[in-house]
Amino acid sequence: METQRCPMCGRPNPPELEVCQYCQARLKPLWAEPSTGSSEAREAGISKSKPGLEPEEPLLPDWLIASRGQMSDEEPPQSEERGEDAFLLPPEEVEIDNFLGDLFSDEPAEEKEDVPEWLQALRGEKISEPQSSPLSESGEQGEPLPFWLGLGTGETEQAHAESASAEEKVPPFTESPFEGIDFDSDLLSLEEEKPAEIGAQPDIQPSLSPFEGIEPFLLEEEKLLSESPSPVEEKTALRAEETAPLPAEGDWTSETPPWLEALPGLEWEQGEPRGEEMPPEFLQGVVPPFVEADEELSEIEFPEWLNQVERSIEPELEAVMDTLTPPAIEMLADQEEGEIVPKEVEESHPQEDIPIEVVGPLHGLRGVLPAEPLVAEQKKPSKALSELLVTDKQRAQAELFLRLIEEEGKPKPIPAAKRAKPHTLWRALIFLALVVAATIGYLLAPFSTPPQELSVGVFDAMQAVNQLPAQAPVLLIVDLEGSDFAEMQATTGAMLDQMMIKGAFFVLVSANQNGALQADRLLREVSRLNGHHYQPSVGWVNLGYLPGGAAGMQAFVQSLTEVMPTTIDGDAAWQSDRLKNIRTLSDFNLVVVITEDSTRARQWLEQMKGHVPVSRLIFAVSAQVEPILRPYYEANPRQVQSVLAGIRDGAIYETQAARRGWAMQLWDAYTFVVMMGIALIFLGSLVYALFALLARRKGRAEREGR
Amino acid sequence: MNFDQPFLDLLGGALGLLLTLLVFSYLLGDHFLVRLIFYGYIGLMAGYSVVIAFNSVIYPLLVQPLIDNPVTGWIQTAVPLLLCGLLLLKLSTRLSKLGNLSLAFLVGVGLAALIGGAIQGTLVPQLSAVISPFDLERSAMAAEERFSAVVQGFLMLFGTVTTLTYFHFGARPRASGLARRLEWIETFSWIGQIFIAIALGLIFAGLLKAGFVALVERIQTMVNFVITLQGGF
Repeated sequence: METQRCPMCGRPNPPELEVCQYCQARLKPLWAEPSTGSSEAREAGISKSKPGLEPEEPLLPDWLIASRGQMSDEEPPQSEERGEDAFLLPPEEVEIDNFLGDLFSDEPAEEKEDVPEWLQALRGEKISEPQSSPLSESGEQGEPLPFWLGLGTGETEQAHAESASAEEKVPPFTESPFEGIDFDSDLLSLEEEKPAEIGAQPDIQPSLSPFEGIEPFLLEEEKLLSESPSPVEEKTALRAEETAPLPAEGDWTSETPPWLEALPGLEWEQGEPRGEEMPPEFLQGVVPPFVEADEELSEIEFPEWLNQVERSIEPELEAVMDTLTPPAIEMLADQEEGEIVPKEVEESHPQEDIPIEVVGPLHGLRGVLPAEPLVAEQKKPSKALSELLVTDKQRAQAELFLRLIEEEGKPKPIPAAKRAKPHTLWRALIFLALVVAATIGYLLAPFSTPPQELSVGVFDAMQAVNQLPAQAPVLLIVDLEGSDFAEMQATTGAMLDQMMIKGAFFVLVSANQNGALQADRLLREVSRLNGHHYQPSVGWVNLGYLPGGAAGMQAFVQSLTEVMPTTIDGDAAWQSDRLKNIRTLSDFNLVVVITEDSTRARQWLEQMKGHVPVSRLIFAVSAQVEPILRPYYEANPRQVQSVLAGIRDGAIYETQAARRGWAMQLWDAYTFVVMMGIALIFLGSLVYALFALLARRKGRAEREGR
Repeated sequence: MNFDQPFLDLLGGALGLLLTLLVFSYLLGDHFLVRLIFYGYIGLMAGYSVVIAFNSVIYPLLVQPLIDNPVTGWIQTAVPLLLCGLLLLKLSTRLSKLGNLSLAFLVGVGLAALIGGAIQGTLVPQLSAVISPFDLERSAMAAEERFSAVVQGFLMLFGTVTTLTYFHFGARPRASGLARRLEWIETFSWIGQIFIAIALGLIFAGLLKAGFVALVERIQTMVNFVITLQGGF
């Protein structure tokens, strides 16, 4: 089966695919297939440069084929060997036409117009003079050929690798004698000053070499090496013959080529005796010769321009040195000794990391255009850059900041919440005092006079009760809890007693689930204490629990017979002789609401508004509800006939009615307990005020003592 | 097994005395017996509420009509039964949304009753009560009493306004970035706090008096029980 191999991963793919099914690399280049009607010269050139080209492959230039052939295991073409040899030859002997010029040398003018200018610039051609070679052009005009353009061919790649290895070996050499000297700018200035001398150096033509940007003296060494047969040349020739893929990284990076061993820096590194090293020929007379380590620099005469530079930067250097801290000085000293060497300098990118162009006219070239990962490669900053020069104050602040951060991260023990002391003793003492007061008040009764003054509320209630006809139906709405039964019995006992005297018939209802039971109990107790013989169904009817809250109250007020048709015992409530005339709430001669809940009292009052005449509505409530209901009673016009609140109103009622009831039985003890309570409140307030005063004086004394 | 009434009274009194003392012992701290009494009281009240609800509501309003007259009873109780059934679906997480109808009905009716009653029974009458002291023509009081009525009316109006102002929490941002009420609102609010404190003090005093009455009644009951025991023995 016919397959095509991926140029990236090398795996076979079906011929109809345009993208590799494994690595998604493009299998077929984007450029158009050359037409069959191309010129014969071009076909001849192609067949000459790449005889083994498959017929279905597009016509590729030989430099591109050479670039591909370098990655394959095939025998490299002869042109590659030529190119490599030419690279190592002196620049003027290089056959430039083989570099790129063979490509389109026979192309007609129309086809050349299709080539974009940038590609022509890449090729080094002049648009106006396409026949001239880029190297000759650059050599004539002094425009150097970009170094990266040479990476596309195997020769330049190898040369680049060698130059890179040379650069890696160079640092000891470049750092010590030429530290801080910018050769590009300085040498340019020297060229301007001494054009004749520079012109006399025929080897210094950096534009003709792929070592663009490399120090000129390295080029000098390169030239010397290229002129004489060297192991490097033999090695490269051997590589070309073997057409093996690029050697492993360790092969050419770990081994130092002989030409590089001749460099003076390497001799220093190898610990050879340092003699007086002479600078390159073009620098003789400008740069002093390399001196021994034990020779004082002050004894050397530097050129005037270097002295001027030194004088100009001397104040700045002194200022910088003043700001340096001892750690920073140590760090700089380490850097000078070469202990801090960034790892990036030592690392080199392996050949496999350099991407290969997969589309366009540069298809198959490795590293021609710097790919984005290579350009945007994140490098770890050197230690010299990562360590800031800080002053002592800044260092102290940084340490403080770090300490704060560390302390924030540490878990802090949660302080135990201060629980209020139970004050068990105080509570027991207060309780004991109240119990003693109640007991004494009950046992020593009667020792206090009953309340004689007639309050307005009691007067109005008595007036409403006195106006009751005999056997009158009275609605008792009892919303009570068991805890407040004693107070409510004391409040309403006298009033209910008066009603029983008149033979009132009670209808009990409650919006509280316990209310029905408490209502029954209340009437029983009042009847028992006052000597009446009231019994259920004879003296009262208990309708039971009224559900629904405020809505139930409203429904009951609007149609009580329908909402509560039966008694709590299940009997028909409204069919007795005493209730057969009752249809609405206003049919009752009196409506009494007995509750200790302010909310329920207010809801009953609101719902009964307009359904019960005010003169027939009485509220008997607990003392705690009185402040809520008092505005309804004291309003003008009032909304209720009377409000009986607490044991005091019950005692007044009993006094006015001359009937000693439940309220008067509790009154003496209650008075005694209330007096004890007032005394305790006063005493407690006094003690707390005394403690607060002492604490305040203590705090003031402490502040003054400080 | 027959018990005569004095024995039952004695037993009830002793039990009441014991329970009362145990509740009083809560002053010394929380302990098992107190909690036992509290739990027993809560359980007793819950059970009693269920019985009351069934006897007073469910049976007479839902069951009894169906027993008395099934035909008309179903018609009468159809809607309540449907709403009750939907409300029971609240127990299911999947069908609980169907119970929202019953819940909406309950909340809507309850709020309507509350709001209507509050407006009709409290808001309007109380506003009228605040204004009425200044209606001198309607007042049948003597001339010397009118002055005190007007003063009282001013005091009531002032107390009402300042108390309501205290519950005004609208504020505007100041230049300093703090949001504070206007100065006159702050002043009125501070005065309103005094009226509120007086009202709360009255409520607390009433609560204390109710507590004193309950304490006195309990002490008296225990003393009577002890006296009865002494008389018996």
